[in-house]
Amino acid sequence: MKKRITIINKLGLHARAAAKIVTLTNTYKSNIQIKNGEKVANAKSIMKLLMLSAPKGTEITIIANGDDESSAVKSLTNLIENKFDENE
Amino acid sequence: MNDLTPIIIRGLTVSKGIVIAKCKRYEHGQNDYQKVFIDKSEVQKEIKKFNKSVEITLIEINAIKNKLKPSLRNNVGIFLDTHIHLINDKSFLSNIRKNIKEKFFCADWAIDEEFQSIKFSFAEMKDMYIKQRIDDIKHVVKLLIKNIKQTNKTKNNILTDIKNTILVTDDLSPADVLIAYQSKCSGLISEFGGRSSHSSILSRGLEIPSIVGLKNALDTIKDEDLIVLDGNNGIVIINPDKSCISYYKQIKKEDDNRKILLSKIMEKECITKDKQKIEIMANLELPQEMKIIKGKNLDGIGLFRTEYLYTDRADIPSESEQVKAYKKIVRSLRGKPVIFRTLDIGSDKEIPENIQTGSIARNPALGLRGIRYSLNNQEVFLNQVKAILRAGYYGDVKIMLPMITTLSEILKARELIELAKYQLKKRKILFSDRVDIGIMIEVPASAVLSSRLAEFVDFLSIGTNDLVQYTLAIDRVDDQVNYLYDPFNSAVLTLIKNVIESGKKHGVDVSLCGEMAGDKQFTKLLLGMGLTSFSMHPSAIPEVKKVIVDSSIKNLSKLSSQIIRCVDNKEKQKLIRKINSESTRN
Repeated sequence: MKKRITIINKLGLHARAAAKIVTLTNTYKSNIQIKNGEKVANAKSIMKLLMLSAPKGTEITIIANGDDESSAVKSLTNLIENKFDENE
Repeated sequence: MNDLTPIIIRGLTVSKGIVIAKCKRYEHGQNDYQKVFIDKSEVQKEIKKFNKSVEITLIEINAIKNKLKPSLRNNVGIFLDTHIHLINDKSFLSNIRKNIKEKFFCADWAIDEEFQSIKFSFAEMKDMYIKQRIDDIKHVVKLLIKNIKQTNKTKNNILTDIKNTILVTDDLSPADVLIAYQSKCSGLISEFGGRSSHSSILSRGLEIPSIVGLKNALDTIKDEDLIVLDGNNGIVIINPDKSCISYYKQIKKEDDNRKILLSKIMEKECITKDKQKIEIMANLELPQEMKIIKGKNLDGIGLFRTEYLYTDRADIPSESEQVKAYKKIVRSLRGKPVIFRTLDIGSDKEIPENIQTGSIARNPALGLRGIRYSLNNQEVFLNQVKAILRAGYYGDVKIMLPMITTLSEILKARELIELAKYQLKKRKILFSDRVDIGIMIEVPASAVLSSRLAEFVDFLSIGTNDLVQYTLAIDRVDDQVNYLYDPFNSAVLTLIKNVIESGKKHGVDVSLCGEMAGDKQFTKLLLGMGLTSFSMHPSAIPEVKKVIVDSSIKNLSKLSSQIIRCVDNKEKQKLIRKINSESTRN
């Protein structure tokens, strides 16, 4: 399952945002990846996510494979759309 | 017990008090290690060593996290979460293990090798903010390497029980001081730092006896050494003998007694012998400090620093988060004034947002700080002003603008404050429309022109720490020159006098909120110069108040004018002694 989404929070995929993604994705069994252009990162690895270098405005693709792929994509989308629940 | 000779070392006294206790050393990560190839047969042992280090590091970080008060957990805590995620990161861990298994690197080298390759890919990034996250990884790597080195040796950890001990360290961050306070550590010693750094101000506020600038402290002091920390004189005595210990026990007892005596002074009104009311207010920088001033007979908070809301986090605190914080403070003051200083970052305080702009100034004291930052980041400023105005609804609140240098800055800031009011009105939110606006006088330019600037504000507050630093061109955190930092300098005193007079001329309140206000050797001099409002760290209030109630202002003005004019150091010292012994003669 694939979904394209734009990073809209001010600081982009910074450390705290990445930490929140990792916390979330680790609750799913599916294999989850985030793609930014050529670069692909395992969404369960904070290091890889940081190395994606995705500031505000970056369009990324979520790719999930597994039993719970649809709910994983859905909650990940929510997190990104809610700007990682941070006050801006 | 021990028959070692006592060793005496000297540093800068930062927070008074005597402590006789054993010490704990703590060195913030040290990264030197030997690049050693291991034998194939040692691979398993090295992997084990690495796993152990991961385990210890996780325990350490979790321990810090658990020790944080709930109020700090959101800001500092989430950074620690990032660190925990990094340490648990599978690709990071497996790459390091690969370096050991396939390249036969020793564990610390294997960690650093992986760090170097991560650093390489981060270097190619364009986004400055994310690029800076390499610091998080670096911090984790430092901890891991430190713990590799310590798997064989005894553990050396800031958090393993510093209760009732003296912490000896290379450098102290404000967060370290907080952790020490929460862990009930009895005293602090650090190799670097100056009297006016934020960590020092904090340890003074929290009344933890501290000495900084004690060079080679970590080389001289061993773990578990019994030491005397004499915060009154900036002296540390290692392996004190019996007579030394009993001497200090005596002093400590007298100190404690004096404290009780001084606490009685707090009940009195602050009026001089010749019946002049002098205002005494507190400088605070953390809401936790509210409990220090509780029950003390004060005229308000003359300086509430707001930086704590902004530091140690990646984003800017929201308006509602700030309202919540400010409101609590305003309410507990019950109608007495609270002067909120708007964000003053730069200099020795930095926030991540600042780093995001991609520039870390080479000379931050002269860079984008105080009001300059606010006028450059108007959304941040507006947000804060709105929060202060909203808190104003619950009591008497004033806004103070830091680092004002020119009139145009005042006008621009006032314009923005009006805009904030307009926006709040439009949102139909309760706020105070009558909030006094004042400025910090801490740049020589604004001290010289204070008479002109006073026409445009409701009050002036003299920040002597920066005023001295800028007037004398001395970096107050540089321990090579900070001994030249001299508030008695005539140029400094002339500027202060000028500000006091400007205020009088225009009927604008003048107070002094720098360190000078809390140092009793300046109290009589400042009274003689006509100052009627002092704002200082709460711990200094009793001593200063005692001097004030024992003074007669009419006896002080002539001597203080002489001190201002005097440029001969010896003569000046004499005059200072004279003014300070000028007590109750009427």
